[in-house]
Amino acid sequence: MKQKRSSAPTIIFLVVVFIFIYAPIISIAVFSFNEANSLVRWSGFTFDRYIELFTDRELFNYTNPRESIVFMTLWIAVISTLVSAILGTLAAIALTQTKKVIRDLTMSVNNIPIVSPEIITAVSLLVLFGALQIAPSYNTMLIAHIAFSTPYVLITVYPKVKSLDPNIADAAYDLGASPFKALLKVILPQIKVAIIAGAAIAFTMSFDDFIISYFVAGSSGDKNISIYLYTNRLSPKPIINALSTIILVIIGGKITYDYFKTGNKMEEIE
Amino acid sequence: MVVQNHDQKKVKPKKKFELTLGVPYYFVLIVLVVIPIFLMIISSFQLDHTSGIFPISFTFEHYLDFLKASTFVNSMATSLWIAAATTIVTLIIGYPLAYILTKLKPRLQISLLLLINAPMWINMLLRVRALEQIMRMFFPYLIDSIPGVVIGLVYVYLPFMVLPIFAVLSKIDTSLLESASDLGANRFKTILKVVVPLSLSGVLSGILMVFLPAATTIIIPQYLAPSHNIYMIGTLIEKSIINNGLISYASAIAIVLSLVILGIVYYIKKLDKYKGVNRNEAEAF
Amino acid sequence: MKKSLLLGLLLVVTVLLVSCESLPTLRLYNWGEYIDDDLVVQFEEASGYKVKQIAFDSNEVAITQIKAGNQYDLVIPSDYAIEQLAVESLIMPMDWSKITTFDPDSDLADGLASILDQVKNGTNGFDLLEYSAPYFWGNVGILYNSETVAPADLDGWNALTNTDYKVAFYNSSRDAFMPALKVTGAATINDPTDAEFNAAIAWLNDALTQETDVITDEIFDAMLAPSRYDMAISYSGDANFLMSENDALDFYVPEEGTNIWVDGFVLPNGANETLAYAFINFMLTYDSTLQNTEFVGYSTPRKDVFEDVLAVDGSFADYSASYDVRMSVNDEVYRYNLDLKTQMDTTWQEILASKGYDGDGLGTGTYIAIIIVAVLVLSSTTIAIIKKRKMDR
Repeated sequence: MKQKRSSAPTIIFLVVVFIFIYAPIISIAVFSFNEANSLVRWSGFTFDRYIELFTDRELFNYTNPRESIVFMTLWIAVISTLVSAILGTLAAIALTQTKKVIRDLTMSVNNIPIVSPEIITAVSLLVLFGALQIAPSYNTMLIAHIAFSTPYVLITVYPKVKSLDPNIADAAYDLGASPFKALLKVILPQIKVAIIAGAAIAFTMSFDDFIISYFVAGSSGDKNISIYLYTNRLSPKPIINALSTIILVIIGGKITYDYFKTGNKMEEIE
Repeated sequence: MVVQNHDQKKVKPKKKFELTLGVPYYFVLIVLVVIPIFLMIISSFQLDHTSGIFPISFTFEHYLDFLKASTFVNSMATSLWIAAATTIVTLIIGYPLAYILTKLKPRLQISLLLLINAPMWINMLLRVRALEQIMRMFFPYLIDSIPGVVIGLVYVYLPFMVLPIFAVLSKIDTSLLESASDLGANRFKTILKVVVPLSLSGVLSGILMVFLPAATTIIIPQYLAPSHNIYMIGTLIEKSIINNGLISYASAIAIVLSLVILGIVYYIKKLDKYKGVNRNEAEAF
Repeated sequence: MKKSLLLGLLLVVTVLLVSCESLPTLRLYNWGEYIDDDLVVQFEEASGYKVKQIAFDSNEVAITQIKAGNQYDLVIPSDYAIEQLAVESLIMPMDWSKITTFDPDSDLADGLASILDQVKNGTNGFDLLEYSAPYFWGNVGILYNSETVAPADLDGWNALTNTDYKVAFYNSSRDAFMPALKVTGAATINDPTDAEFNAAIAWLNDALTQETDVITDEIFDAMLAPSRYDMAISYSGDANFLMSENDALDFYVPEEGTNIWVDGFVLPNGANETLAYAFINFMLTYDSTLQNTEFVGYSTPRKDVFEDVLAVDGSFADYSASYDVRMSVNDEVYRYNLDLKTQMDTTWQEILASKGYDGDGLGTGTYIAIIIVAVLVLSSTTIAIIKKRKMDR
């Protein structure tokens, strides 16, 4: 039987934990409106930091997006998500037709980048690019992102593909569809949800990636947001607080959206 | 699946088509996952070149270094026990937290769960930076200290411990708990003898998900211990590559690190073998 | 319908991005906080070129990254690094015919001219001007808080080992080994004997306790009032800047001697020479050098600017001791020595990694943690064994 009343220690414990988790985040948001340049002394409320943020040439370069860190981070995230989503989905479908032995082997190898600590993947990719004499740049960053995103898409999409009813696809052939059309019109719509889930994971992993991007492209001047934050960690710039707050707000929006969506689902069940 | 004869003609091209779909993926898998690992292994047996060409030499030098140089051993030791401390703390906080969550009403449960998970979606550097700021403001003595680094790691990896434990705890059949109390066990005994063993697999999952990243982190020591008082294995690899360009040495460290990690994972998975307890307990009751 | 919209959007963005590649960009690889960004903007507006700045915090990182295949157009390393890059054929000789705003024969500040001459004419001489155009120069010393440090305690480099004070070392193998070699009496920092080197290592291991910090750019924040450290190893230029921001600070150069250094522009192989020389020409004008030295605080190479800032109303009149760096008998310039460099770099990492492991080993915290871990492991194994026995029955 579930307890209806929570005891005092429980509530105190929960409150303390949540303060621990959220105090730093809230302080960043609050200080992003700070007048002074300091991160410790408060002197007044202002939107200046945000104006500085959006006019900062390194982060937002409106005339030359290729030089803008924020745009390039988004760009690489989008492209790597697209490529890995396509590769992973097609592979998931292909795997349903392969022999069990090969399939198991593939899944094991696929899991290597997922379970390895990122730093080991980073070193291995660095060695690869060194051996192939590819200079560090946004290109190597993009390739690296595709490398670690694709396995996640595969493990997200494959279970769904496996659970599909094969008779539906066969029915499509019986009705005269070419394999390609069957793929497009029959299989893909059924696994759409899994693909989107996999793509969401790939996008977040690429956007937030630090270790692999840093090793693979760090000192070439081609930075993503994480590298930018890291290289500026010793000389703190207040616009970073503004940038952080914006990212927080976007994530917060997504979380709220999720909350209401699951809330509605619960109501439907009830 | 029974296939009629006249369908055979259509199944074969379909099967072939679907198989070829996997080609690009296999290309990526082999070139970007398998080959780099082999290259890394090969590189670890080579001398570090200073002239920029890929030489073919063979040496055990980097591995021998592991046995004698203090750098490698010290960093590994520091990393392992900081990671252990982090795992213990996240367990101490995370287990009760997950337990409390299972007792809440569904609506509250979902919202709190989302709130605990939300930080995971935020860029880790932002979170660590936020924590650094708070620490500098209120607890400046924690900067550059080992407890500070552990707190930072706990801050970042707590959700990774809460989630698996919550997942397992919420699946526990409440009838088991009722039977236990029917048989005379008080609440404390129930928790100890029934809940804890059943949740073991979740706990072990959480331990793995916290320990490994905590041991191999490079961000947290650089933010919270910027004056290099604390040298972790990730820091060592980073410095070897970025500062000194010793890629072969770093590869050797990475390989040894992988072996150590494989050992730990294997041990933990072995502990998990006894999770067959679930089925047997149910039969016993 | 949604799909084609998405594809269309992607196409537009792709075109946008690809078409914007045409602006020529100068890739400048420089120390952090070592240039007035306003000058960079001025250059961009005057020349129409774009500048992309990438930062490094040590010469070792700079050399590693150049070798790693990163293409830069201009790099600003230090003397010994310039020598290494030249010896390893990684940079192009400086074509002085392309530099119109500065004449190395007549425009060099006196102190700098004599230093460059000594390096050129000494044993195994190297002419820095053959491969670089001077950017800033200075020496290394101890930046200290005059309100907390007693003058009697400034007894040479050993002052850093005084446990009464909070000390910060600089995170660079050379700036750690130089004081160590000097204080333990090495004849020269460029070719120490094994005994001298080991003595230096011992001194460093003693000096770097749990209480001392090893920093780089943090010094800018840490030494502002109230300064976090009583003493910090610092470059003369950083000292100038910090002293102007915090009156309590002062700069001390130990009598045992110190390291004098010169940083200069170099062009790595494959650099865009048009952009590079345009930038050098811009930076070496009177106005640019004046603005740069006043912003950054380091000694400028231009004779006229140098004399103007040291004149009565000049910006650095109060800091002539740390601005007008002269080479005294015990001072040395670092030279390129591959074996010594590798040895110093690796040993420095080892010293850093084992820092704080002195005396009582890992500390009580470790032992407690180990005990807790052992207990957990033992208990879980015991539980598992008990379960197994139950199942077997």
